Amino acid sequence: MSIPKTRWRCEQFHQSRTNANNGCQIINAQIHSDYEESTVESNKDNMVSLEKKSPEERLNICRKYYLGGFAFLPLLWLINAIWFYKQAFKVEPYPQQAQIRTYVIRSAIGTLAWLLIITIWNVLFQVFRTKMGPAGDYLTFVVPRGYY
Amino acid sequence: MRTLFILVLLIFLISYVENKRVMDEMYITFNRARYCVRRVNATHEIGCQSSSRGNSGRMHMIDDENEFRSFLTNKKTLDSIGKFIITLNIDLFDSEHMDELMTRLDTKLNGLLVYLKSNLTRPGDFSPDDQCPNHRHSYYLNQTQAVNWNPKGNGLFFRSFPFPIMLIDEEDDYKLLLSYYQRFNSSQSTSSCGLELKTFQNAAHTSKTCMRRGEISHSLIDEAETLCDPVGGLNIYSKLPEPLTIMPKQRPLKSVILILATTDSFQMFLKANGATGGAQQPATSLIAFLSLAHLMGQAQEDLNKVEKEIIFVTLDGDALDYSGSFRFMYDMENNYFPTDSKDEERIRKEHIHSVIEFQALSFTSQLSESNLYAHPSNLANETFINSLTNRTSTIVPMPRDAPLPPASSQIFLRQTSSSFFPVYILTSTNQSQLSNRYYHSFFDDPSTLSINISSLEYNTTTDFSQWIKSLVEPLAQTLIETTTGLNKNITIEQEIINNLVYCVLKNINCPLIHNVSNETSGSSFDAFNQTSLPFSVNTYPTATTPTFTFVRNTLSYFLRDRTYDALNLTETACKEQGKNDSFRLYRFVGGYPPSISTEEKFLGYCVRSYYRSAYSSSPAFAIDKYDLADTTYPAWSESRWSTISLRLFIIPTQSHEIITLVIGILLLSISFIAFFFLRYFTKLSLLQPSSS
Repeated sequence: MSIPKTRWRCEQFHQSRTNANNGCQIINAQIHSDYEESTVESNKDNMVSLEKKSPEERLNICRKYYLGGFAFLPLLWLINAIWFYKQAFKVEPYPQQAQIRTYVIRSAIGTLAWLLIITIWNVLFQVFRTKMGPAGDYLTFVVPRGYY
Repeated sequence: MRTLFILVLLIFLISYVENKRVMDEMYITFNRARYCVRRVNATHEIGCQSSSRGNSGRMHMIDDENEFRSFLTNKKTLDSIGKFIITLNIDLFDSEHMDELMTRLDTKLNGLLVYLKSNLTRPGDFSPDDQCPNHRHSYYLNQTQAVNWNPKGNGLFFRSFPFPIMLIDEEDDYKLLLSYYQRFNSSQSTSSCGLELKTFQNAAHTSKTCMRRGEISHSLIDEAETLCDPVGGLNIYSKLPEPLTIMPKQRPLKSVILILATTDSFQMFLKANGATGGAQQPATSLIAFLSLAHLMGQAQEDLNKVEKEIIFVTLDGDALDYSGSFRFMYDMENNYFPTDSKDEERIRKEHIHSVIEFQALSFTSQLSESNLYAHPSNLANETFINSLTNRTSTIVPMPRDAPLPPASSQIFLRQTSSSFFPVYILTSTNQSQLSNRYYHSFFDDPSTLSINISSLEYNTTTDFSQWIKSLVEPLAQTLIETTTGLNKNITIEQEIINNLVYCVLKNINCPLIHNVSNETSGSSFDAFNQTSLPFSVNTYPTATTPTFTFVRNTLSYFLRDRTYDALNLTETACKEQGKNDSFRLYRFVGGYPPSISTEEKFLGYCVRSYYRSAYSSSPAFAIDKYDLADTTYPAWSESRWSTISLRLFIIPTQSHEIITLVIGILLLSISFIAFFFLRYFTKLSLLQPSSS
């Protein structure tokens, strides 16, 4: 229910300068219900909003993130799964949604696999670092001083 | 006008306020504390380690046995306090008390501060070395019953402690510590003293791990950081410049006599620029060694005529598992003795006639005899032993096949299966015990030799220096008789020994060293003014120690070619001589008067001498692709460290801490509220959020 910040700032600015045209633009703030995000856009805001994109563009973004994740970038898959979750499952169906759904599911599986690999390697390294002999030392990036 | 007045007032106030750092007010620092460091070898790590930010805890002082017992049984204090720093009287610093303390306190023991009340209340004996020193690589490895040469040794030097141990030996430091402890640890107030010990060491695990880690660097900008340095210095050898066996002339068998002494020691508690100990071992042996060298130089004319060579060798690194001796024998086996001489015939074990070593000699009021050990009995020359012991009563022969005391010669026997040459060890033992009660500790200072060091002058004759004279003269006479067959009654001037004692035990920046050095090497001693010759663990790359320069200059001067004393060569002429002779060293020095053999005095003397030096780090570090975990050769390394500090602070009471916290939170909330009010109810534009 609070006034959007941008509008409040502009009003304060108006009060202190009487004659200037501050270029402050306020587009109608639509206060939506909880489920929908507000679409206030100003020249300061850079957030990509999926609502504004056409379905082809959405599919394109999703595909880019999915393919990018194969370059050993599991975080892209994680972001993909979380961001497009709503688009894939909670929004009314549109033709590209099926493809987006597969991408999201595969990204989720990929993220889980990576999580498993990283956790297992982390545990193994911490347990066996000293027992591996020279290999343990050569794999350590910052060599510990004073302790084995 | 008003602003000017306020300005003047402010300047006035500021100039009267002293600017002190809050941190300086909080801590009392002890700058002269000794500390224990980490060393590693092929299989273990020894010494002490602290965390990188220092170990702190509540201080608890234990002065005697009763307090020790009551502390260990006092469950209330032990359970209520998280971390302890125990301040322990040095009399209680031995393995039984340490074991009890460590088992009872376990992880609560965060550090140990040992104190010495005053120099007059030293413990009667204090040796952190093992009871059987250097038994890991000794000649008697398979001996069923080891002889405890150092019965009072507590072996704490070779144990690994997970907490830092420091020692304060200055009386004022102890008094300060005690005053704070008594003020704050009394029963009325529960605020107490806390101590912080910071002695973070870089080394870990074993030498192999440490050296390997010292070469790893994955960073593009940072170089690999060396974590530890191998133990070793220089093995120096010198002899009379004639005769010299240059190829293709063959060296006759059994023609070389080696005289040995060591130049290093170790102590559990180090101090930068502090006394290192080592007066009885190796300083006394080194002084006797150098005096014998001078005597041999005096008999130059007779010794030049025979084919036998007497080579004086100093070994460095022998205190830790005989690293220097192993390297020397390794060099000999690999045709690297003598070094740096392309055409000089190498010396191998067949050429060695015998080895005479000065080891752990001490002179106390009770004991003025030294013992002569000879091994093996089938090779020992009875005539030599008899003529030596007949000349003086201060040298007592030991029975045949008596077990040898810890000595570098043991390695000479070991590496040659004791079938090539006999070794003779001159040492001070008292019925299978070393007479040194402070073996390898910093307490081993000249006061144990009955020398009043504060009144010692450059030319003072002490009982000690007279005893050295009575020791080396018969030995020199016997040596000359053995090598040349002549019976010469050779003597050394007492002044020379007095000067050596002064230089080695009191002030290394003495006239003797300046007389036997040229200007560049002589000026290097100015940094060590009023300090004795340090005897500590030397590492490679060598730390700045004057020991090797001292030995080089003195030894090569004493064994110089005395015919050059009368030649009156200039410095340039001396250098010219050096260009034609690649086997010998030519230096131009001021000249040491008691040693000049001619009547005339010149402005400077050209010293023609034979001098070689080789690195004395263990063969483990010299052999290519040697596995440092292998125990064939010792592989000791000393850790590197950066800051060492010992600080005292006050731990406030529980209520004090709670009040401080509450006030802090209160201030925080008040400041938030004040700012909130200021922001909403004033027109100050500074406090508004910006809109640009």
